[in-house]
Amino acid sequence: MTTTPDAPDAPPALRAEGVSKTIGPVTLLPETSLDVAPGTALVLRGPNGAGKTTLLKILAGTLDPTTGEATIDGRKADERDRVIRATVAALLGAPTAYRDLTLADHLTLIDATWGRDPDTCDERVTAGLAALEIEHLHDRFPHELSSGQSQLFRLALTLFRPATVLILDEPEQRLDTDKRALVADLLVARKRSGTTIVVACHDPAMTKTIADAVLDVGGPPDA
Amino acid sequence: MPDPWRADDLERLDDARHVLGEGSHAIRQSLYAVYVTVLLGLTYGLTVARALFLTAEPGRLRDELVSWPVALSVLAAVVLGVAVAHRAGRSRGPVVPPMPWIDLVAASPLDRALTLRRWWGVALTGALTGGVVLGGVLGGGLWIAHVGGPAWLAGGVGTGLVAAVLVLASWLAGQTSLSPGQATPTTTPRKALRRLTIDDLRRQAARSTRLGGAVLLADVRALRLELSAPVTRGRSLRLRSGRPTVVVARRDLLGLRRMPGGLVSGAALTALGGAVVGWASSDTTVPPLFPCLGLAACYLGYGAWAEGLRLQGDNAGTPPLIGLDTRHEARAHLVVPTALFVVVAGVVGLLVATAGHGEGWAAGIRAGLWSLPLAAVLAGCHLLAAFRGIPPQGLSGMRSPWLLAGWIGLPMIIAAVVGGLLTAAVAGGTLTPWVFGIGAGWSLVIIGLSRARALAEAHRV
Repeated sequence: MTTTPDAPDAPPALRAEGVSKTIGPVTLLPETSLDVAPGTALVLRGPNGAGKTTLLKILAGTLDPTTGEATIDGRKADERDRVIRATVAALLGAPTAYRDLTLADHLTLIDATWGRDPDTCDERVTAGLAALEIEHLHDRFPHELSSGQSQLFRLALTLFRPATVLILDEPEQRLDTDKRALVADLLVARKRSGTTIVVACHDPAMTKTIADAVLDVGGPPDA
Repeated sequence: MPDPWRADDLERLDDARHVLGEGSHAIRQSLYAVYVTVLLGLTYGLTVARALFLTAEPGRLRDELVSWPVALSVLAAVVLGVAVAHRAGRSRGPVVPPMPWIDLVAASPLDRALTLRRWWGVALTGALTGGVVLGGVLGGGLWIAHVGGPAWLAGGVGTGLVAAVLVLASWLAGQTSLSPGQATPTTTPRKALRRLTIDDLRRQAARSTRLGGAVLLADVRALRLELSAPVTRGRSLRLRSGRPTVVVARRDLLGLRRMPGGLVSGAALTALGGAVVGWASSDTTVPPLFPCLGLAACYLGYGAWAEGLRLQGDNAGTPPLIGLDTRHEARAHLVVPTALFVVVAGVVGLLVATAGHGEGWAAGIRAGLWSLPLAAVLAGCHLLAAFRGIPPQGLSGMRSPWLLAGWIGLPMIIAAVVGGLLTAAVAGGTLTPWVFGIGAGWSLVIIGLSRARALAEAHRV
């Protein structure tokens, strides 16, 4: 599977060549190959257990494939590599939030640790929350959010940190129709600004909005 | 005045027990637990206590035990135990029946004090047994180590009994404090039991089940989050931006401002431990057991300030959101607890050593400075605790309770033993324990940071 770049000669931002994952006799991901050009979006589809999350983890460099290799901008996808960490923002499951920090404080912490200008931090934090329409929750603690608000908060954390590659596992989870459309629009905007996106998604409308290409990940059907 | 309902209630309660297949075996189980506790206290407890007390010269130890620092320490420990019991009661009180009993029996029109008295009886029996055995072991150990006469045994039993009653009363008061209509404290256990609401009992029973699961799985994170109260204070406070390390340290300070209980309990434990360290580092006759216990208190105090470090450990292996290397972030999270420890333990140690020793300020300054290598030891042990990961398998492939307990307690044991023994050696006035102390602290921090890195990468298999 290959997405088409705006500049045809550009090398793929993300490449997986024959990656698979097996643990003992169990195959989590059959051999899969893909190329994702810079500034494009690839949507992964497939039934539960097909291996979408496993593939995303391999692409994000948090899991070693059993066979094959994944690369990001030509470097091996390995989250231990500082360059890879700086390049990839990923939402793979729920990150653990600080229970003693408000939503705005979380974004301030992320902003500062990525070395952004402290003087303009507040504006960025407000904008980051407003982009997902949760700016009115800025002084809430994570445990005070509903499940849908928690998902928007996780997306805000992931989208807020700088990255040129965005990897998201089912960002539409727990969101209502309007919020799914909002997230889709945000991802399209990120794509237009040059970010390469790989998303596992079960929502056809969202897939249609953001996908430059769709990959049906093979695997065993639901039991 | 006789209660006309009581006879009828007792009969219906017996019927309920009969339907549930419960009988006198519950009482037999409680008595068996008492028997085992007393037996363990007599065999192992007394032997260990005697061996520990024999490490000191009896006359000197007797003088120390009747001195004001020890009396104050015992009083402080009892007050702390009462406060902790009250706080614990708000999460999990002494009276928590199983959920079906709450829904089917406690919710019925039967007298609630009657339907709950069995669990109150178990808690009462357990607390009294624990207090008597603990006091008896310490008092009896002193007696058979020839530190004192049989009066020490009676004193130990009496103190243990009083402490147990106070702690249990506070525990129940904590449980009932959440129920409506608590303008004044309840005067008797029966009245307290009647004030417990079904909602409170159900909530605590559900939490108790989750806590039990976390204990069985040695899931320290779930245990911690389950026991801690949700943060709601300081909502209007904002984290100020700045340089990365500074912002992480500010984050930890902000967390303490929003959780003042952690700040205060950390200060109290560190002050208690710092006082013992100050005393032991300036007096060669103090048995090594005391500085070891002092370091255990210091470890707990430091831990109360190190929530940021633990939360980083919780996130180990997840895709990075924070723009810092794992070890850099961990080092930044050590800044606040280490600084607080050095200030509190250093000042308290300085004052205690200065006041209680003939050398005066020289001993005080030595005790104050000794908090620096101890801070490194504690920082390293807390790194090991925060990034401990999942428990290891035993040789049989199973995780026994002893293995899990050892795995959870290992960082505190290392801190208590290494820090305690070196503190005892510092009193000798030589340079050797300082060299070993600095070396141990440095090594533990390096090992802890390596552990943090290893855990962050452990998910890659």
